[in-house]
Amino acid sequence: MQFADRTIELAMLAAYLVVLLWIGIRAARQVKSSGDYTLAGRSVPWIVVLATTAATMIGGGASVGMVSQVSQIGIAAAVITCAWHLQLIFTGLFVAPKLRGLNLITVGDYFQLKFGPLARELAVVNCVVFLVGALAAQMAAIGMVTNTILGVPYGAALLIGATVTIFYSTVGGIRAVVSTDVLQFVILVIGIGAASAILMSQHGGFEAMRAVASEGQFQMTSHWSATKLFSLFFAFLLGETFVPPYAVRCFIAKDKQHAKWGVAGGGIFLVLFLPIATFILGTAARTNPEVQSAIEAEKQQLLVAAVDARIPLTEEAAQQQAYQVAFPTLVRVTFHPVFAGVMIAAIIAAVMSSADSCLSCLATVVMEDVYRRHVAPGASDKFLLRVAQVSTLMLGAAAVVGAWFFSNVADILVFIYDFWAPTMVLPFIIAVFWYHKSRVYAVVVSMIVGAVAAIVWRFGLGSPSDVGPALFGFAAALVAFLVTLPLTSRLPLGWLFRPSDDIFDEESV
Amino acid sequence: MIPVSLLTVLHFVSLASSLVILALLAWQYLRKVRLDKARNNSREDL
Repeated sequence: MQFADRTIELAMLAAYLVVLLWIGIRAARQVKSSGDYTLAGRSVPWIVVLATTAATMIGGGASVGMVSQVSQIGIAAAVITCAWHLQLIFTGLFVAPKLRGLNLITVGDYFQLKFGPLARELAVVNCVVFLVGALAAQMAAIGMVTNTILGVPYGAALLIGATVTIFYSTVGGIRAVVSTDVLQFVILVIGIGAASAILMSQHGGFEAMRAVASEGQFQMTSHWSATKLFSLFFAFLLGETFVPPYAVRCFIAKDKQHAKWGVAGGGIFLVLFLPIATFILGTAARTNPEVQSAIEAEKQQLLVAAVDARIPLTEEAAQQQAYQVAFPTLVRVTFHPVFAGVMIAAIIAAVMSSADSCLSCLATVVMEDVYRRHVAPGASDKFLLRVAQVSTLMLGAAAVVGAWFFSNVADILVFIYDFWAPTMVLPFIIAVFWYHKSRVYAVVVSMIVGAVAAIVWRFGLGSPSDVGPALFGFAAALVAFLVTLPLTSRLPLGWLFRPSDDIFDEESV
Repeated sequence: MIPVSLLTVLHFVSLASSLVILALLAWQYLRKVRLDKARNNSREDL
């Protein structure tokens, strides 16, 4: 990369960070209560819910990671990501109106409402594990992505990116998070859409592109077997279903209809827009000589750095890691340096926006599920707002420390996804589609069995037969539910299992 | 093998959907600006 281009990109990133800080300060003026800070006053229209939901989905994995995967694997990598978007459509159509209609604040509230206090505490532990892991992983990703794309040292990139993210999240809460999401969404949609159109026109259509790319690029099973495709699709589908950052998008909407069409619309838009666009970008990256030489140069650099640091790194692993430069290099060779700089800043901001969503959710969980419930039930709203702000600041700082020492993003993400699906997805499905108080015991047992099964499968048995802990744990939870249901359906509900349907009013909106 | 004609249609739909969403966002933004302006004016009148 030329020195002048790199300077432009760094300047664009600096300008982008300043804009994010300005958005945070502006959003802070609108924060008058804890409801404003954690739920944006429940006043967000559906199109903004759509943009913030889609922006949360388009993190580093769905942009840089996906273009890199499509370059290596072909169209199958783009097709399986439809699972992410389909779960959003499902959540929007069937779950979002119910969650929004109850005027809830956290996922824990929903579990208490449906399954009682014990289920709530189990859900809160799960949410905290998920959000802490996701936050640390996204903080590490800020450092890694900035380092790979712009060559800024990991530590400096982590500190600068995290400081900006923590600042605007702390002062502006979810209002700042939503505003920055919308900005990032607009830039990424324009950038990815324009890049796919320009590259398609440069190649002269898909037929011509197929003639240049390898034949396997257009075949579903050229790299992965049908079984592997199915299990990956299932893992993608369950791994992010009902996770707190999407649940919050349901809570902040103006009403049930805005929640429904905001979240489902995000999924519909993404399934129409992203897979085909990333397929074009990934295939173009595979056929572009400049991108290929940048990947080769990055690979050599990684291998030399690994030898210097005495870290074992195979050529294959280095090649896979080096493919992360495919998307930014493609942006550089397609666009004018100034717009390329804006796009690259938006790619980095995409990772930051995933981190800010986790940070905001985690602060809400601490304020509502921990502080207001266990420490000071009678605390004033002003004090709760202060607790949420201090929690955002402290948790953000703790995540930076975690990311400083433990930067393996993929490992952290795999760990948290392994434990979310077995414990949380089945209770959500039962609560929404098949709820009855006689099923409370069976649901609580399934949550415990799902978590234990995933832990034993992962740590005790080392995930044998290529079956992931998420899939095994989910199956174990389902079996536990079906076995326990006939045994417990007539038992009286003790206080730990009594649903709290008296404290929420479904028609109160 | 996925047919090329299907991919072409999907790409067209992808671009069209992005334009629609961006237009809706722009409309929402303009509406908000207009509402804020009206609110400020009525506050000044009071």
